[in-house]
Amino acid sequence: MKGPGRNIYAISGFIMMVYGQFFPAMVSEWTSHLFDMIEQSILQNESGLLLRASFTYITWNVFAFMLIYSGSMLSAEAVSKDRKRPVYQLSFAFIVLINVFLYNMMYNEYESYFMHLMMVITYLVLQLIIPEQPFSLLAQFVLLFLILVSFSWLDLYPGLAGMNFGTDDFAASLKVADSYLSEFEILQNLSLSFFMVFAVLAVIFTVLIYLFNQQITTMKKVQEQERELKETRDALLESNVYKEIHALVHDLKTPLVTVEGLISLLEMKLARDEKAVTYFSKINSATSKMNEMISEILSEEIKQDINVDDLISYVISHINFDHVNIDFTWSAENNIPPVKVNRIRFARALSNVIENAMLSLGEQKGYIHFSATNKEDGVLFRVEDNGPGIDQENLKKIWEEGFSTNNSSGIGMPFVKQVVENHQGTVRVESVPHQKTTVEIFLPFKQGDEHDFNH
Amino acid sequence: MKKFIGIFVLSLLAVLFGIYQSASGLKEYTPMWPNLPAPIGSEPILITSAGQGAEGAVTHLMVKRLNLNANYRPRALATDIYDYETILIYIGYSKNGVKNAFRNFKEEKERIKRIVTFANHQEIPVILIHPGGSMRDDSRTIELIKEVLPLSDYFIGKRKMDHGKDVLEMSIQHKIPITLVKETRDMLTPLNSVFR
Repeated sequence: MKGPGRNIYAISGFIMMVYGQFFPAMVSEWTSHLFDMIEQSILQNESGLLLRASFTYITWNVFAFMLIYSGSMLSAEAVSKDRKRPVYQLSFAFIVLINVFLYNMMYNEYESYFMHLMMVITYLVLQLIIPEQPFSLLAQFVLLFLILVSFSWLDLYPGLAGMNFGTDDFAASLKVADSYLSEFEILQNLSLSFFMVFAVLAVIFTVLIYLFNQQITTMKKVQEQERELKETRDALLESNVYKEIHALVHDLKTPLVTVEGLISLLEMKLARDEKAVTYFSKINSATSKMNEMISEILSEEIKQDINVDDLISYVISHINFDHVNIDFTWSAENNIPPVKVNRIRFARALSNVIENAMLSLGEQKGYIHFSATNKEDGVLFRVEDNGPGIDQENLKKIWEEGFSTNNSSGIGMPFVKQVVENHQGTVRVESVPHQKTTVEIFLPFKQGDEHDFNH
Repeated sequence: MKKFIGIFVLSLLAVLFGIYQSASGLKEYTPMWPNLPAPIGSEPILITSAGQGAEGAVTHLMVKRLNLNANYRPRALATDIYDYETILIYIGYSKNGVKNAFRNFKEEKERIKRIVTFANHQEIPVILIHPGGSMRDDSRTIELIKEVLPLSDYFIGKRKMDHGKDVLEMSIQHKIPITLVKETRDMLTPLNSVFR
């Protein structure tokens, strides 16, 4: 447990122990009433009144020691959070016995150390079964209460006087009174019955908590497995879609080769027609570009050197800026060396970022600024807008597939990250809602370099 | 296994503690007298308490059952004994009882000592009764017994007492007749022998 948590436990425990120690002094009227009840039960030779006095004594005793035991438990938690460790167990026993000693000293009482030691052992054995879970502290308090009630009744069992059980003032008075009134018939049966009832309740409670926790654990496991299964299904589905697209793009190559071949034949046949030659040259250039694009789509590893200006122009050419309310500007430093990228995929990644900015602005008026800066070891692409932005909680989720704040597919930003990382680049998003959102993509010239965004 | 170490150590401690308690406490002592051979007391009787234990009223019940003329005045003073022929003192210290009587232990001890001294002076027999036995033989109760036993005429107690040996030795030393019984109701016989 860390410092502040430990201190809270220690302080709470100490306060409870102090309250427990001063409890008899705080309830002196109740104490006096209990004394009178015992005396009157004898003077009136009334067993019923003695029974009432016994119940009052148990309540009085449980109140006082519940505070002391709970305080000791919290203090022991401050020493060691793990209740199954010997340090916790011995600390708890030590604190309880010290408290009993102080209680005896303060009130000239004769609380039995042996009985309290037995109570501590019983609690420690049962609490081993209670697993760590959010409500385990509450469960510990309930368990302590049941054990305390159970052993308090044992205090009134006359047969255990030899083991110094029930040597405190009221217990002694009740037992002596009962020894004459019913020759121990009342307390012997009553104390043993209630001891058994509460001891069994303590065991049942512990087992129930254990079973409940097992059920929760099983449910969590099932939920986790279901989630993993869903993820696997989604991944499989996605993989199938990619495979189909991949196959489709691959199949485009065959008709393209046919087109290229037939164009070559036509070019040879119409070699004397200058106009036709010019057209064929343009068609050839277009088909070879298409071929390159297909190759780049089919293989992420195909990269080529490209000027940053050309890359930006290529990106912008694929975006529809008909939106009247958006003030779109872009800039690129002049001295940026060419970058080696998979043009199709990297341009798509940059387009995604810009389109996200446009989507976030929606119908409202705003600006988007797209820039490229030379950072010596690479190029820093920055897209800045003044849309509604992303709050801190959602900022952590934008890299998760399927997450979207604008009902889109939710694969845009994960795709950006995947492409940038494939180029050994880094991507960072910062947002101050309703002020400014910035996406920075760093692309190293020498791939493998990492960029420190703070410099 | 590690999680059982603490519990094992504490259990060992409890076993040792239990063995020590069984060995040191709770011994049965044979009674010196089954009851008094001749009565020494007469009525009216003043029943008072040394230690103010709530269960002192048991003595009053016993006397009522024996149809003896008695008054139960747990807080009686030495000046109250003139009207009585016998003083019957219940012994059992109760911190709540003493507090309820607005006294402390020292004052309580002083009060009972005065009563016994005054009774001796007036030649009024003093009978001590201790039905608490092992349930009520804490150090302060034993201190009260030691204070008044040498000045009393008869002691009725229980066989099972942690400090039974001390009480027995003291009664022999001061030649005080003593009867130790098994159960509280068994005290009726020796108590009756004081008066009849």
